[in-house]
Amino acid sequence: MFEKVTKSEIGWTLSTFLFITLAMLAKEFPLLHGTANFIPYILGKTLAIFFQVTGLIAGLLEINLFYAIFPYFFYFLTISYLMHGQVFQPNYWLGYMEFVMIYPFIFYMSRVRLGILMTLSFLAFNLVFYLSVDNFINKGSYSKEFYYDAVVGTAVCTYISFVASGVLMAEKIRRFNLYQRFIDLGKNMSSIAHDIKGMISGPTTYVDMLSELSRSSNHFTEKEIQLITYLNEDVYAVRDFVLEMNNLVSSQITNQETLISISAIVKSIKKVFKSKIRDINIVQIGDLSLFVKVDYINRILINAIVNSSEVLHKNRTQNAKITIYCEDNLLGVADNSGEKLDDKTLKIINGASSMFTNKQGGSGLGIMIIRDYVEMIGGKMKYSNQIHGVSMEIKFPRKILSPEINRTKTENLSPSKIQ
Amino acid sequence: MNNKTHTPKILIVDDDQSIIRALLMTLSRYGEIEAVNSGNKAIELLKGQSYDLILSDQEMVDGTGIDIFNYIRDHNLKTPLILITAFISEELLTLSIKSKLFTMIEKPFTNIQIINEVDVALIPFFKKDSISSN
Repeated sequence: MFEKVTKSEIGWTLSTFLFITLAMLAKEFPLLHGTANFIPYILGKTLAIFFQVTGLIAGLLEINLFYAIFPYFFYFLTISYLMHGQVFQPNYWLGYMEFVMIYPFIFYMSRVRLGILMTLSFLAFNLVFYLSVDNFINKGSYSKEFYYDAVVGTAVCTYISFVASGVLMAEKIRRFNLYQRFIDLGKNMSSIAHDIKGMISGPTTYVDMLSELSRSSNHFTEKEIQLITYLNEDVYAVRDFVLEMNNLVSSQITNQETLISISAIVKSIKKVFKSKIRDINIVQIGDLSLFVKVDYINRILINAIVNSSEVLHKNRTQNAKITIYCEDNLLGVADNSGEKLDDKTLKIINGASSMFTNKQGGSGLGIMIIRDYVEMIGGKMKYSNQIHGVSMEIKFPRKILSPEINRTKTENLSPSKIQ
Repeated sequence: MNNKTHTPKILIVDDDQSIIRALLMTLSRYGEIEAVNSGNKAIELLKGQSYDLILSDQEMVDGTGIDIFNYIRDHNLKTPLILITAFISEELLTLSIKSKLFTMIEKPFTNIQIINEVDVALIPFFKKDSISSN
């Protein structure tokens, strides 16, 4: 539900909060000193400060359970603290603003929850303000303008704070997505670099040996001929690999929409990500031809296949299989890893919520990235748990389907049947 | 080397056939070479027989190079292991500093690199062989 803020953000907030609290105490101390309310007031305020500081430290140390309930506790405690025992003065809404404006910098929560929280506290604050007029406002200070001023002031800072929270959240999600894409690219590049390093080890060894042998004889020996044959095979394997890789990445340079088939991309992925896929059996049922930016489909399929492969290897699945099925405007990828996603994660993945979750390990890894590309194409994505594992289905918009090429019709395809 | 009574027994572990082929060509001068394509198969072999040197890939389908090394360490075997890896991580580097039985070669390797590392790793074998033949 909540995304943790960084330690430095909490540190800065804590310092600011303590500074404000001390300033408020210094301001209010002379007003109450010597009155009957002095002791309860100081004790109450100390207790409130204690809980607030403890809450922030809990956030700082990432004590999860406490952190999960604390945003609500923190908010209402501080609002009560602002209302209780205060001497309301002209422009008191500035005191309200001190807390409400700082809140979105401390905690991130969904816009709906934040909206409810802020509306309720706004109403409660103004109600107490209104009902406590006789007790807490300095005699002679009260006027209609003063009250309107407080209502408008608290409404404006509640609104600004709500909008600021949305902006911060959107920025955090943007950074998270960017970070995810770098991880995704880094992972794939690392896998490709790993393969190339392995592939050129053979040729470098053969060249060394040939160079050594050529010094000792003037004609080709049987061993040299054998080495040349091996060298030839390995160099051509590297060439094929680089050509397939070029097929996969060339669209990133041109960024143009072209006619592509799912089977051609799957074939390239099988070759380029051979070391990730290893002995997994990739079965394709049916095919689709789409007029689309190739890179988008590449990224979707690379993520789906590589993620499934990782889960299958992690679970040491016997007879590991990834099934890719195409029907009409639908593309599905399913594996037999036995991995399941919990209901909450499925809800987040399949819902329209922009909230992100940390529970994207296993089959969920890279889901955000896949969803990004699916949305860019204008399609819809759905994950579901099947008997043998997790399946992903993408519905493409009909306008990108190729009318020229016959699509293979498969009857009553469903993930549970194909596994 | 020709004067030795015994030849070392070397095990190659890699799931890439082209690497196995290259290593077999390079190491054929040493003596008895065996090759398997997974870490777990190598561990199974170690349960029944001893080797004078193991050259292993790190990332494989079934069992890693580190799994083999952990088996060697846990069973107090004296077999040195040369790990062939595309990426030398901090963890691997620390392990190579801590243990005399563990060294690494980064891919893409050359013939000379392999021979140098294998010669160094087999020094204990040749010393032992020399003492027993005297």
